[in-house]
Amino acid sequence: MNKLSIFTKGLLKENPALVLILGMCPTLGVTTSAINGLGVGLATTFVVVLSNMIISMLKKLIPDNVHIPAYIVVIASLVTILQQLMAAYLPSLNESLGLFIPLIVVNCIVLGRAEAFASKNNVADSALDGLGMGLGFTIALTILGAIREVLGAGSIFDLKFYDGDGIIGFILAPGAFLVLGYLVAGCRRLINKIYKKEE
Amino acid sequence: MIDKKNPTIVQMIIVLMVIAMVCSAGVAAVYNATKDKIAAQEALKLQKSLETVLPKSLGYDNDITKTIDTIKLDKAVCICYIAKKGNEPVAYAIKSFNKKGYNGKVEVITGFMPNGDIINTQATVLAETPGLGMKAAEPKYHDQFNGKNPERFNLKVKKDGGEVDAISAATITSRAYALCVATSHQALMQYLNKSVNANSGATNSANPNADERGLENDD
Repeated sequence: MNKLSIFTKGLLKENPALVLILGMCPTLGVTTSAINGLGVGLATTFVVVLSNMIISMLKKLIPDNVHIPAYIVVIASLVTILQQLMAAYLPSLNESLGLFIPLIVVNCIVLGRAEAFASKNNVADSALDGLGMGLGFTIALTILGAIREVLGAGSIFDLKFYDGDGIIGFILAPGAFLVLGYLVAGCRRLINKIYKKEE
Repeated sequence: MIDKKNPTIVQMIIVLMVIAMVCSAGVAAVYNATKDKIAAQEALKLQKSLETVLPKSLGYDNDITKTIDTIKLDKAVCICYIAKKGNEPVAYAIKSFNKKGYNGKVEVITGFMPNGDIINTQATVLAETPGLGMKAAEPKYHDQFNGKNPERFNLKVKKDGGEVDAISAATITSRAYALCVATSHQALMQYLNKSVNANSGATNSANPNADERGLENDD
């Protein structure tokens, strides 16, 4: 597998949120606005890149029997560090994301990439894989958040363009499922179009 | 070196212990590096909220974030920030909270004139439903309290027989917010009575060291 495809597979073909359907808790819970989606996406990217790199470095030292506790300790520490940094430098974003930052610890994408990729590949490839997966997740969450914000609140990235209430259902949980469903379908169609041609 | 497939128990313990120690050291280092900054951010946030509810135009000249007092009510403990001009108090900001919001805790700072008129209100903790309950943070909702005196303005939502316009589809949040304002007003009344007593010779109950922890203990 060449370097470029390690990076790009996370963006579309193996997009963690829209194709692998991983990390649904932040995907559905936090995307009430585009900025929240972007925030959680980038926070997850930070964690997945660093955890992939650290785990790839340690892969020869960690015995198979204890690899899960070892990975979790690394991931949990990274998330705690991230949360402290956000509280110090991005307090308003930290407040609006609230519990979803600590929840990155149990995000399947992070542990999934550590398990499936970083524990078998070198540091550079693992960093690329983490970056691709993280950005794919970020793009999915930002689009989902943007659609829900436009329909539900009449604004985009907190810029109001429609005066009055939007369709409140899109801000609430049912809207998240509805939009996610259409995005998953759209993503499948796009993948079929692009990759069928190659074959 | 470490046998990946068949490690001995000692090897597993050592590896996990070393990883845990290094990670803890990293977390501790970042904690130390950021804790002052985090405290400064929180102080800044409090300062901003206080300036919203007690505008500078009141002409006070003390540091309100440091002139604090706690007020104990039957069911709540409130923090009172006192704005003073010289030695004369010109306004009060009272922070109170309850857990009756749709998503739990709602905390509001309310600014009062010494006669009990509400100057302004500001939510400091509000994690309600976006697009519904979160509208309590918008002026359209909370401006209705400004200039009102709770002695003549029933701080209950209209559904409960009061005079507060609830946010449509977010009555619970509106109720919790109005309750915070009402609790703050109750605390102010109690505090003013006490200070009058204090001035007339009784011991002052002021406790300058009180901080937010006193409030959290009431949970």
